[in-house]
This record gives sequence, C-alpha cells and structure tokens, in this order.
Amino acid sequence: MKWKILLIEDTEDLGEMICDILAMEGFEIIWAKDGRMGIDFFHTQKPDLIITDMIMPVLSGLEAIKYIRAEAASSIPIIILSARSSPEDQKSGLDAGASLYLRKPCSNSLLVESVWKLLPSG
Amino acid sequence: MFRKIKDTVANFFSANQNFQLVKELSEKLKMANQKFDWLTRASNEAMRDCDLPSGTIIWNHGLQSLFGYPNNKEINYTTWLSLIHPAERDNVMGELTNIFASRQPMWSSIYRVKCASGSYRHIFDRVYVLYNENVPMRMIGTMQDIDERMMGLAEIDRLSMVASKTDNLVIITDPNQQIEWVNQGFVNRTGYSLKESLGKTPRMLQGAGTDQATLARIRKGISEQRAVTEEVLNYTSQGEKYWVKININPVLDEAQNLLRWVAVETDITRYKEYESKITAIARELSDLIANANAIIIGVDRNLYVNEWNAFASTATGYHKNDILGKKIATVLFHPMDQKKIESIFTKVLQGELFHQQELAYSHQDGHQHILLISATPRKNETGEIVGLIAVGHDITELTDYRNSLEERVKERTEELKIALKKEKELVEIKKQFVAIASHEFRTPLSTIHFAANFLSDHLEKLAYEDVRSKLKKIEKQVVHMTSLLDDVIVAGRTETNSIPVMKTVVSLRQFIDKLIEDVKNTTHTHEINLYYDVALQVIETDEKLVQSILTNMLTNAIKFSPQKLSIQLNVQQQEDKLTLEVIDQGIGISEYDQLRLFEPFHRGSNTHSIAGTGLGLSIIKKAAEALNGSVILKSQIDEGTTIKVILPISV
Repeated sequence: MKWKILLIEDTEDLGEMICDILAMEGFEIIWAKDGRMGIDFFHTQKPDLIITDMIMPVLSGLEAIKYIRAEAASSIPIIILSARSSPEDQKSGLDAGASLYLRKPCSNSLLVESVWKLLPSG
Repeated sequence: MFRKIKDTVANFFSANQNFQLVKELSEKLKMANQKFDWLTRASNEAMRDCDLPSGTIIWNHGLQSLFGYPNNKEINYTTWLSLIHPAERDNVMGELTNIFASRQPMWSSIYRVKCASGSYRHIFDRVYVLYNENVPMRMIGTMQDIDERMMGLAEIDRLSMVASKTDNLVIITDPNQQIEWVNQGFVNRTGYSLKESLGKTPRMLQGAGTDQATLARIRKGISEQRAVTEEVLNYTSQGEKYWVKININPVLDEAQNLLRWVAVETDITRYKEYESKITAIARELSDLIANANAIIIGVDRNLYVNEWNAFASTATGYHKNDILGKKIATVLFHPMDQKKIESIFTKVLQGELFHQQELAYSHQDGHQHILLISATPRKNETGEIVGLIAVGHDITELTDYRNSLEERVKERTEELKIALKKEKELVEIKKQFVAIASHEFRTPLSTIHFAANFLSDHLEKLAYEDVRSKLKKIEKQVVHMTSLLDDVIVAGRTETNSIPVMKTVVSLRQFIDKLIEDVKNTTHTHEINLYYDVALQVIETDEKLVQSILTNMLTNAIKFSPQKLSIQLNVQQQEDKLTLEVIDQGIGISEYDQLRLFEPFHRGSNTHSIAGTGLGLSIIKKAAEALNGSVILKSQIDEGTTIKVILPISV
C-alpha cells in the first residue's frame, strides 16, 4: 500500500518539483494550491502526512494546521516547508501543531528522510 | 541849695536897704523856691542837703514819697546812717570816710534803706561834697529809687543761673531787643563775650545767608509780643556759619507789660547738615525714580497710584496726570486680571515681597504687553506700611522672542520627531525588505535546489525530456530571480531622475499583446480582458519602463484577486496622453495603506497570505514619474482596485 501525502503549495514550479521528488520515492501525492483546498483534500482523501507552505492565498498554511489540529482533532504528521526562515516563524509553526519545520531551500534527501521518519512505520 | 540862696539874700539885704528892691528880690526868691520845689516834685527822687558839722539834713518831699517818712520827721545824718541796711552800712560809712579824707567832691553808691513800712528799698545815692579848708562842710545829693531795676536784675540772675547750666545759647534782651545778658553757651558758640554783646541787638549775628523771610516772621512775632520759633542761619564773630533753632519768648509782668525777651537757641548745624545730606539723597532718589530706565509705580494702601515716573508713561502710554489718583488695576490691567492684581498688591501691602513676576498689562493703544515686575512695601518713619513701590520692565519683545524661540524649538523638535519617525520607518522597511527579499528569493532558490538535486540524484534513470524540463525550470527561476533583483534595484533608487530613460519607437499594440501573453504564461490563473483605443500606430517611449509599469500593474491585480479570475486592462489615447488602466475586483487596499502605498517595501495590512516584495507600486510610480507621467489609484477594501497611469506621448 502506497503512503498518501498531501502537498499544500501555491507556487507552480516548486509544487511540480516536490511532486516529482516524492513520486520518485513511491508516494501517492495529492496537491492542493491553497489552504482551503488543502483542508478539503484532508477530509476527502485521508492522507497519511501533510507537507504545507506557510504563505498562500485564501487560507494560509498556519491556519490550515490550526484547523486540522483543533477542529478535526487529527494527529496526522505535518511538515512545514517555508521560505520564512526566522526563529519566530518556526516557533509559531510548531506552536500551531506542526511536527517539523523545514526551511526553503532544503535538500531533496532532507525532505525525503523527514517524510519517512514521520510516517507511522518509520 | 536854697540855704545858700537865703544867705545870699540875707547878705544882700544887709548891704542894700532899698525896700523896693527887697520886695522884688523876695518875690524872685519865692519864685525860685517854688520852682525848685516843683522840680523836685517832678522827679521821683529824694533830695537832701546835709550840714555836715551839725548833721542836720533838709529833705524834699522825697522823704515821704520814697521812704514813707513824714516830711516833718527829723532825720539827721546819724539817723540816716542807721537806716542803711546793716549788710551795707559799714561799707557806706567806710566809703564816706575815705571820700572826706581824700577831699573828693563826688560819691555815689547803691545800697538799701529802711522805709517807714520796715522794708528796704534799693536806692542809687549820688552826692556832691563841699569843703572849707579841707573840712567837709556840706553834702548835697539825690537818691534815686532803683528797687524795681534791682529786682529785675535779681530775676536775670536767677534766669542766668539756669541758662548758664545749659549748652543752648541764651540771650536776654530788654523790650527793645538790646542785649542785657548772654550765657556761656552763647559766648562759646558765637565768639562774642558778654561785654561785647551788652547793649547790642541779636542782629549782629545775622549775615548774608540769613533768610530774610524768616527774619520778617521773627520781627512780626516780636511786634505782636508773642512767642516765635524759627530756624535761622547765624554767623560767629569769625564769620563761621551756624544754624540755630531759636525760641523767643516775651517776659511779661503781672499787668501784661513787656519786660524783656528771652531767646533760647539750639545749635542745629549738624542736624541741618544731615538734613541737607538727606535732602540731597532724597532729591537724588527722586531724580533716579523720575529718570530711571525702568517702570516705577507707587500705590497707596487703597491701591490708588501715587507715583508714576517718566518711563512708566512711555511704556504704558498713560501720562502721570492721567493715572495719578486712579486705581492701578482698573487702568492698566485687563478686567479679567484685575482681581488677581489686586490680591497680589494687597499681599505686598501686608508685607509680602513680590519678586520678578510676569504680568500682562494693556498699553493705552490697546496692545497687550508683558511686564516683569517686583514690588516691595513702602513704609513710613514708624515702620508702618503706607503703600508699595513696584519696579517693572516691559519684556514684551523678550517674551515674544522667547515665544518665537519656543515655537521654533517646537517646530524643530517636530521636524526631528518626523525625521526620527522616518528613520525608524526606514529601519523597519529595511528589516521588512530583508525578510521579504529573503522569502522572495528563497522560493525560486528552493525550486532550483530541488531541481538540481533531483537531476544529480536520478540523472541516469531520467528520460531526456525529464532532464530538459528540469533544466528549463532552473533557467526560468534564474530569470525570475534576476528580474526580482532588478525590481529591488529600481525601487531602492531614491531619486526618480536617477532612472535613465531611453526612448525608442514602439509599436504599441504588438507591445501590449506580447506583454499580456507573458503575464498569462507566468501566472496561468487569470483572464486579462483588453480594451484598446489608441489611434496612433507607434509612440516614442522607454519600452522597458512601460513594460515594468504594465507588468507590475497586471501581476498586482492578479495576485490580489485570488477569488475573481478576470482582470480588465484599458489602454486609451486622450489627446497627447496615453492612459493605462487596470481594474480588478480583488481584496482592495485600506485607506490607511493607501497613504503609504508608493513607499518601497510597504505592503498592505491585508496581504500577509500573499507573497510579494512590496515593490510593485513604488516601481510603477517611479517609472511613471521618470516618463513625466502620473499615477492615480482608487481602491475599496474587498471590492477591488483601479490603477491608472497617465503618460505623455510624442509621435
């Protein structure tokens, strides 16, 4: 059975790259282009892990995480992959309930290893 | 004397028997006797003819009128001696013995004689002595009653007893102001001895400097026989000036007849010198007040003005005559301040000091002036507060200057605050820039990194097309980053004229179409509806700047209207102007943000979830200005934004 990963990312080229990288690892990818779409997919597709950007139109990554943790009461692993690099941003992401905070740019191996580590079997 | 005449007559009779002649002579003798008797009656003197060998004395009526003895009383030489006052009798007898022995014809003496009443009277006795071959034969003389004068002298003695004890100058004159006596004090001060002074009048003390009006008052007082007190400048025998306070009193007898004058003088020279010094000081002070370069005002206990110097007149416009006797507060101060002024001055009148306070007063011309004033209580010689003296300076100019200075300091402070605020904002903007720039660069960097990693990790497994698409991605991100960098550089330029303008001929329609295509290719999401109404085929402009303007206008519109997927672009020519207008129905810009919209790196408060540099609008504005154009922006939050750039065109 393939692990199902939800990617929430509004930047076209970057999203495509992440999809390529994770597909190479054998994961099934669902790509949402903003936070609202991400929440919809979370409910409908039942992913095993979420990778989310922070700054996005309609609904930000942070708000999406807060919703998933509070409203949906889910403990699904969530990785933040953000261009915001300050310690404050990192703290607010983790406080909202993210499992891991990765700063852009990060290497492909770091991203892949982090995903594996956070999946239930890992 | 008449015995001699009798003898002469007797001899005459014996020698000549002519009866008729006798009768005539007898008549003449009777007449002579009569005349002599009248003469002695007319004088109040006792006359006596003493036959010294027998001792018999023939008296005239004076024996009765002077001494009270009846005319027929036998008073011979021996009896007379016994009537002399025992204290003086031996003296008189001794003197007479000496006279007779030395055969002197004249003798006089003052002594007391016992009257019929038993009391003694002072008499002045003058006699003429006749000798016959060195033997005294007759003594003829008069006795003058000098009792009154002697009593007066005794009084002078008593007065002088008192007067001699004092340092004051005492002068006693007769009713005609002839000096009868002066004391030692007088002698010491004037340099005139008692002997030099006797018989003279006090006029000898007066000189050129003696005030005539004062003397006239003294003379008037004397003529009215009343006491006089004056201050007189007198001169000593050496011509030295001295001041006396003179007190002249008439001495009257019981019947109010003037007996003499007594003058007591106090030497007030030093007092006068002191007084003239004080007067000089007072005059100086008064001159000082009058001419001082300060406002000097005096008020009495009821706050009525009683002092007003020349400077006060100049400073206030009120002349002395306008203000003396008026209430200070009502004339000089604004009705609103009057109570305050009166309460301040009342406190001073209770002894408080009022030091260097600023009060506003009204000049006569109606202008407000500022007075820097100090006030002190004014006291009389017993220390009682009778008013106050206030000294003030008109510091209106100074106050104005101070106020303008304060105003300037305020302005400068304000400017500094603004500068500081700007500086802070700049720092904030720079911080923001660093954050935004790092974010905006990190995203394309991230894509490049992933792509490069991906290629190196899986190169051997990848198909040629895959490799090519990844390399394209990298290339595209590099182009994006370069244009981002260009934006940052343009936006960072502080002066619009530092943007170089390179004009070329541009075919406008083709240029617009290509630009729309490029934008669509990078964003993919939105439709761009074009309304094009430009008659000109070509225009002359800086293609790069116009491109920068339009690209930013369109990408902004697309970025900030994520819910509404179409954008309107209007390109129109209005005479010699080209207008580029982009209308979206996006999130809009708040009024607050609109104020700072064109500052580089400023981002709207509702844009946190949308990536961006905050450079777009500032680039639009700077580029438009470099082309002598302008930017108009209208926006309503949640309804959308319309931005219009107007550029001048030349063919």
